[in-house]
Amino acid sequence: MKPFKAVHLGIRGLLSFHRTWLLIVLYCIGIQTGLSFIAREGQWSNNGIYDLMANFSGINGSTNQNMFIAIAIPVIVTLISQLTDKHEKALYVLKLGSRSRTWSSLAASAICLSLILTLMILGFSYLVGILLRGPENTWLHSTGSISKVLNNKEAFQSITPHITTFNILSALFVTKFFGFLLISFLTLFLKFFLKSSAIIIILLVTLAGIDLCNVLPFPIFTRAASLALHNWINPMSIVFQSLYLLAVSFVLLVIIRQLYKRKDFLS
Amino acid sequence: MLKMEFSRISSRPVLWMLLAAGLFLGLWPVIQMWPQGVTDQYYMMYPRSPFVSWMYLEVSSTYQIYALIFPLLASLVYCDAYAEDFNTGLIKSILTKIHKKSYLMTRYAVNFLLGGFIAVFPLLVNFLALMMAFPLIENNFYYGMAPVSQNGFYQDLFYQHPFVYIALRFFLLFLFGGILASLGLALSTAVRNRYIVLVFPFLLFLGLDVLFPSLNWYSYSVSGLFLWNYQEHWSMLLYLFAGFLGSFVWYLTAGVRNETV
Repeated sequence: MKPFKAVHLGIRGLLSFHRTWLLIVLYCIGIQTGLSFIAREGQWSNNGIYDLMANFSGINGSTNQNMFIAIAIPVIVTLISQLTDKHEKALYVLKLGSRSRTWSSLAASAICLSLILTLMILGFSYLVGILLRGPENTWLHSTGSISKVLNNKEAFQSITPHITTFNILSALFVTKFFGFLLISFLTLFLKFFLKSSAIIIILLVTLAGIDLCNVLPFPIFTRAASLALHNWINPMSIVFQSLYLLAVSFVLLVIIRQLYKRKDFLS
Repeated sequence: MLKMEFSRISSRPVLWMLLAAGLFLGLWPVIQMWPQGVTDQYYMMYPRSPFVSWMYLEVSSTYQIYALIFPLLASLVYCDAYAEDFNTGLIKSILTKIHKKSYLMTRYAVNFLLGGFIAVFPLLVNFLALMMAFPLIENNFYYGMAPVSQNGFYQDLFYQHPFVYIALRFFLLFLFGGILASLGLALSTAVRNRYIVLVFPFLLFLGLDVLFPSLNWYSYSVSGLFLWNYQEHWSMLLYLFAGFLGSFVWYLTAGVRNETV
């Protein structure tokens, strides 16, 4: 199947759930506004837009771990489940002509969903942040939260090139996109073994909880896709985290492809 | 009807899966703190008892994960049963043998009880296992046993009647779990998608939990009141009352109106 056709089919399949998308958009607006309001509290520093978007705790903020639990996991599992239910019907597979085409369209849908969700989450976060705090990047100021936390003028000066508006937005885009991609592929993978999507959601929320509580010495997915203070001090960690998310997504992609080749769509 | 409900529930793999998960969540903290090679002097400054070591009060990472999936545990076990009956057409067969109202009432009661039980099961297992590990010594706030502070839920009750306190906590959590399951069941009268029905209580719980703290109304936080030992507040009763009555009236009214045969 031509890549263009797979992407076209993937997007068409995704956008066919009009009502679900409407509910998702409303839910995202509500939760993201709430998360931004929560991150606004504790005004011990010149709290700015990026404190609301990516609070340096790595947990609060409208794009950090709480967002993954409250928005990303439920939304992705809902849409991927509806997509697989539609794409794995025998008639649909016959219409597409082969298993690999079914798989290609599903994979394209997962990638497009991650991209759309990333743009949506970052767009809403940015908009709410501007409405609440204005567009100014206060992290670059000596009265900003990062400077206050570091409490060391030299250390702060050394990290200011890492926290420019462009760098912050790029890092947020890359980590969120790969994070959503991993959740999408993980959902597709689990769908092979578990019929109930609700069990998939409980598994993913549990894994996110393990990440949230730092139970394991290494991140699983939500911690790797969130940005905390140490990431801004050492920006290479953002690259490593993104590569980790990408590598796991790629491994899952290969495994699911092999599984799809043997899947029986008629039973 | 009840007999049929029990045979249906016991044949659901998800029930056994949730029970196994509950067993793990309840036992893991006990395994981690099981006393090993201790002397009589060991607990001198910080005596351990099932009351103070209970996972609800001694917040561990296992408890945090449990608190996160609490609404899913409550709803997953049975709240999609009505939607399942509708989608498969089984409801038509059932209603030829039993009155509709009786069917709806039995389903509501079974779902409520089961949702509540599965939700508190890990805490129950944990407390029972802790009773095997530590002696039931009296609670003393000034003797290193202070998991319930002045800002906690009924502090006096915890130090004077710990068993009543634990029972009250179980009861409130049981009701909360039951209400979450009932809300999912009530939604199934309008939405036939089983997945949406199962996830709805979780999304509602998260939504409320984000809404009130974002308005700085921490005393109204649903998770704070039920799962994080916040100070008692009248809103707790409001949630229970509104949740129970709302889900019951919604489910019964919409259920009776639904065209089934």
